[in-house]
Amino acid sequence: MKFLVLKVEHFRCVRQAELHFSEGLNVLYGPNDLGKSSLAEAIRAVLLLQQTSTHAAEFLPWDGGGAPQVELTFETEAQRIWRVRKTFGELPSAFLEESRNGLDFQLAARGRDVQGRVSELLQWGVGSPGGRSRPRGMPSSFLSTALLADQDRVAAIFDQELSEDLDESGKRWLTEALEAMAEDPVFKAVLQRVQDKVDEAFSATGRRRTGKNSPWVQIRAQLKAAQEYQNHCAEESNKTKAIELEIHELREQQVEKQEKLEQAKQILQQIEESHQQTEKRHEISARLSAKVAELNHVNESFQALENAQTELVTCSAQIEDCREALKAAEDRLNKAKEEESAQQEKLRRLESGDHAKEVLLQKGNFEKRKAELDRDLAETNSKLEHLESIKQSHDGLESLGAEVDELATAVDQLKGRERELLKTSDTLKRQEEELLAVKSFIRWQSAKREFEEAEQGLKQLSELREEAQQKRDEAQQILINDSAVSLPSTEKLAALERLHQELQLASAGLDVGLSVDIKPKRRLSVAVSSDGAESVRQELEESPVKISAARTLELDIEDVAEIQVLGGSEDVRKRVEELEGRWQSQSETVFRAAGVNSLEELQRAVHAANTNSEKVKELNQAAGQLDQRIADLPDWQARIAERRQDLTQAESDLEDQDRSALQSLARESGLGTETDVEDRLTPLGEERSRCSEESRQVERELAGQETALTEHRKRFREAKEGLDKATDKFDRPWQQLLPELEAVRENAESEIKRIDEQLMAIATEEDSALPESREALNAAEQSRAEAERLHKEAGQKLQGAELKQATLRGEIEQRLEATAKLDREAASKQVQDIQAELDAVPEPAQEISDELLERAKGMVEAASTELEGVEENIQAKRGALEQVGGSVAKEREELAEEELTRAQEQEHEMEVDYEAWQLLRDTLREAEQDEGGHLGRALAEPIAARFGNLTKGRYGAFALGPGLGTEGLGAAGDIRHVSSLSVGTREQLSTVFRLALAEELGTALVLDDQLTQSDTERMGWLGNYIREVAGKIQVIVLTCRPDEYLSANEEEAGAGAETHVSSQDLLNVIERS
Amino acid sequence: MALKILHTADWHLGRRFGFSDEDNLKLSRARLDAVERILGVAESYAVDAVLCAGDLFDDSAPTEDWWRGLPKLFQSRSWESRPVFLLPGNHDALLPNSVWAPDHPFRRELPSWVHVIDRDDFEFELSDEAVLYAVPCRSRAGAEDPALRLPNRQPHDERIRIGLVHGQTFDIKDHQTNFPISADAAAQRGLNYLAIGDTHAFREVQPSAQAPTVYPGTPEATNFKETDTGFVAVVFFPRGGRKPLVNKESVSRWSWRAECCSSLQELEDLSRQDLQTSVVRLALEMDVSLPQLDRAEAILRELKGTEAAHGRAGVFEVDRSGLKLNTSNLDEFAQELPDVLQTTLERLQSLQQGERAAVAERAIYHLYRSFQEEGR
Repeated sequence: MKFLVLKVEHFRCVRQAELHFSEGLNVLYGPNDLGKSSLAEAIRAVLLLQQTSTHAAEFLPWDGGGAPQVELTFETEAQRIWRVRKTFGELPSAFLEESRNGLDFQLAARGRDVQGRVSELLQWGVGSPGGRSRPRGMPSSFLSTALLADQDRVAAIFDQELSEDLDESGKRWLTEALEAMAEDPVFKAVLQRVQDKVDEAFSATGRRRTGKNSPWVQIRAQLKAAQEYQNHCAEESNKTKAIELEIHELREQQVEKQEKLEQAKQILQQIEESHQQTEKRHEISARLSAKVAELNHVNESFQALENAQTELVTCSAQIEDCREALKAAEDRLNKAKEEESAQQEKLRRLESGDHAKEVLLQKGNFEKRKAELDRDLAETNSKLEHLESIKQSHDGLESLGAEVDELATAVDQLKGRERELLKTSDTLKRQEEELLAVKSFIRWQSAKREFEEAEQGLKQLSELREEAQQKRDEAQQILINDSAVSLPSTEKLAALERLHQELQLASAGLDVGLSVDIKPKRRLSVAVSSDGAESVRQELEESPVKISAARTLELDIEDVAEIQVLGGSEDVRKRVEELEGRWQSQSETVFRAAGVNSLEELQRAVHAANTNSEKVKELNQAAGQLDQRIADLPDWQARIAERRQDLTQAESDLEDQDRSALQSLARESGLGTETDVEDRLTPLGEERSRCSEESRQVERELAGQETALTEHRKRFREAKEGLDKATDKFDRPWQQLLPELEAVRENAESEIKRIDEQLMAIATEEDSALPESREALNAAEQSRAEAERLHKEAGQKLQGAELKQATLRGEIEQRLEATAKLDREAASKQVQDIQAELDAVPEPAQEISDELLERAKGMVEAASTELEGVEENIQAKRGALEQVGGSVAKEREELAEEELTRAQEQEHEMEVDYEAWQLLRDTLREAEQDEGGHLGRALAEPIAARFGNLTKGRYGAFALGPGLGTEGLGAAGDIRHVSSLSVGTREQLSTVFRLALAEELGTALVLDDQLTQSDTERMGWLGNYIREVAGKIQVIVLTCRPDEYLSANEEEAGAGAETHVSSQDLLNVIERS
Repeated sequence: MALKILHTADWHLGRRFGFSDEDNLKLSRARLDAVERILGVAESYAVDAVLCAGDLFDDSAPTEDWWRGLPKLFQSRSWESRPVFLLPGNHDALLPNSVWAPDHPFRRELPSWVHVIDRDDFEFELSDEAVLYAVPCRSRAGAEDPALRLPNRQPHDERIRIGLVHGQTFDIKDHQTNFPISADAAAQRGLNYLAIGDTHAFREVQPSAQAPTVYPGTPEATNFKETDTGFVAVVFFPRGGRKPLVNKESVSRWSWRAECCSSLQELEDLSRQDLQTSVVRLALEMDVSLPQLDRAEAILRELKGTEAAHGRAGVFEVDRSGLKLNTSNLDEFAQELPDVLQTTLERLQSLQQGERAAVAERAIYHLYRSFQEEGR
């Protein structure tokens, strides 16, 4: 950008001005207060400030006439010329016009829109009205500050950076401009190569290329062909697989149907077999039945013969039996007849008197014997009763004796228990006594310890009191000692020290070094004193002597002169004298009061006094602390009396106890405290109480048992005496007599019972003998009649048997004849053979009907039909398979899949490769942006180079931040902030910075009296530099010292010898208000 | 010796391979070259007949480029006394519009001594002592055993009986429909030799059988999985009904090699081999530094070829998925770079842990390569 024309009216002090700018350097000069800065402000106002801004009030003309108006014509690029005109004040207005030739302008914007358009054209980052919140006043940005330099704010550029701009336009412009500067040639080459690769595959918008040379097109065509081929093959293969699957299924069905048919056939076969078996068995069975019937007939014939023969034998036996039975019947009959005769004789005899007599005699004998036995029995019973009573007495005595023994045992046990309890009680008592003694011992020990502790406490108390007193005494002594002298205060001592130091310093001015050469012309006696030291006399011959001193030298030449040589100037000596006077007057009093002779001694004394004071403080503090410790201790005085009393009491409790024994006992028993002893005593006391209680109970029981024992013993003695008396009359022990008498009694009772039975039998016989005899006769008669009947029956049976025997013999003869004609074995064999034949034919599980057989045949037929149907289908599918490709299709599908996979992999690989190129390209650009984004790196180097030139290498690198914020300047190995530079150097650096920036941007730069503090040399260098830069861009310098920028000729001519230098005397341009 | 025959099969002329067009052409041409060598072997053994047991074309209707070359090979010979029998297989089935159709130009260009088996009852007397029976495939798939469709040996027929069919001698689930051939079909039909095709590996089905049933396999492999390929069978029939002798004769030139290199040294070693007639599928399983990667890429370019130069491998494909760039120490490289490129490298390195790790890794390599070419 460059400025072409500036017209200003009623702007501050400028009533009117019109300036035409040239390319290159424009030096606008004029005296102070002419309005140069107003022109610069007018440019700022027309470019940056909204015409309605209240800030415009500052532009009002000083003479009060007319509204401030500024018009600026500028060119942004070739044939793009803009004219902006703004009127500020009460009726603000703004116009922006555009022209290609600088003559014909067309309105581009007006009013409020003007500022927005101008900001866009400038790209200075000042934002647009209504954009981001603009601060009040003149808008400012990094570039507006840099390019429209303000005379008052030369160094403002160092405090500004791009991040503070109101919009990004300035940063964008700078970035674009400086990026090219940052580009590395290697980077550029790499980026170009990468971009070329990316361009092979991607369009500028990042889309994949679709042209015929695009690699994507080729790979996609390949992929598409592979995909289509794969689809085709897959289709063919799928058809094949489908048909194969169908065939497979049909085959399974076929197998199923075959199995079904086989099953049906098997069932039919089984049914048919069963049916045949049944038929055959029926036929065999019929034959068997016939043969069995024949065999049965034969067997029956033989059986009948055998039966007849057996019956004949039986019949013969029966005949024999009948004969024997007849004989037996005859014998029985005979016996019955004899018995009848005997019974008849017996009855007859009973009915006579002999039998009665015999019975009476027998009865009398029995009764006599019974009476004898009754007597003996009575006597025996009497004896036995006596013996029974003796036995009872004896048993009672034995029982009593056992009770006596039991009681005696119980009494003994109770006595034993009583003794045990007594013993236990004694033991417990002893233990209790021991424990009580231990307890007393422990109490004594405790009391003793406490007494000793009290004694110790009392001793410590005394020691502490003594120590506290000592410390107080020591502190008192120090105070007394210190009070003997009067030392100056710290401030006074410091004043003395300062005075002394001053004197020392002043005296040092006298130490100039003195040297006197004496060349005696004759022998001299000279006393020499150097620097106030004691004089030394020496004899000088004619040879020369050199005498030296630092400050003073006194020579006493005997008989000649006394010479004093003083070092230092007169002023110094006076000063020293004055200080010495002051020192004498001030130090003497103090030294005297303090009792010292020098400042060092005084310092030591003050130091010692300070130390003593600290020590006194410490001693008093220590004494206070001891007092506190004493106060914190118990009142041992009071306590020691109590403890002595306790000890005395404990001593008396121990009396004559062996303390060492008690100590051993306590240690062995683990008893340390009285509580330990109490813990032991409590169960011991309880145990002793339990013993006493039991002892009392045992005593009570013993008394009762002893009374009972005495009673029982008395009863025992009495019973024994009675028993002895009762048994005295027996010659043998009564225990032997008792079983003997019991045996006698038993025998007698047994004999009496037998006699009673015999007597009873006799009585019964007497009553039944006759009737019985009659009954026996009747029985004998009946028996005889019965024997006669049996005899008759036996005769009849014998006749019947004999008849049957004859019949059977006739029958047997007939049957023998008949059976002789029959073959029994042959018949049997025939039956066996047929049976075997029947057995050989297995019996069917079930009866097979014709209907069942027909149904089975139907099943076979249906299964066969189904199988044929499936097989026809299989054939049809095989035909279809032959048409679709079979394994060929599957092989091709496999191949096509491989081909497709390969193409996909190639595509993927290509994608990765090109995406990698794309990623690399993007990353390169990002890195480039980042590097370029750090605008400071790009710009700082040329600035530093220029500035280094200007300052002859005095300063190093110029550090600029990413947003061009100034970070500092390298100097003496360090980075220093520019504020540390001199004003002149700062304004020079600012100017170089602005020039470099404007040069990089290729835009106009306005410098408003920037270099006011620069020396001639640097000004010369800067002038040249400005000219050099102005060869590339437009530089407008407003100055009151044109000679610093222009040669004399240029100033006069208004235009430089160089075409790019022009000047205007503003006196001729500006019309002031 | 009563008879000598050459038995071949599965030429698969016109087969696709799924590589680049150029590579596909190499491999396809190689198959026709193999046929030329087969005919040379037939001549060198002075066989009495050449039996081609099916799948001679990869498709029953190949494009002219593929069927045109075969008659030319035959035409260059005068084998009136050495008949050649071409059997349609399941790939090139005898279909109405196939290359075998009587009115197909291919048929017209075949010399008279080249016989196409286009009848189910094909019978040809090779000599007074030998006869050939053959059954063609009439479809791509079939469930019938073509060998069992050959006629039985008749009583008093003492000739050498040779069968020629195409199919598979196993009957497993997935192949049940592909012309199954009974393993004892030769014995069943009283054949002295059953010449079959389909399986690409050389195989004598039942070595102990009196009448051999033989697959000669394909003369050039068709993929990496196939083994024992590249042969024809030259069969010698002694007189007196004794068992024929089967000679396995190599005719292949190409090898299919699936290789894996786990170090740059292995890759260097591989690259030094003669791979001109190899189809190489190379898997790289290695971690390499940038210079190593650069060297590896250079070798790969040599093997694959560039627009300016043929590759050193006949056909070459590479799986880079196992090729990892070790970027743990790029300091040396970084130090050489200008600031902006250093920043670029750092940014790319930071992307290596993310989703675009592979792309970032490749980009680092591109940066390295570009800097090598532009920065020095």
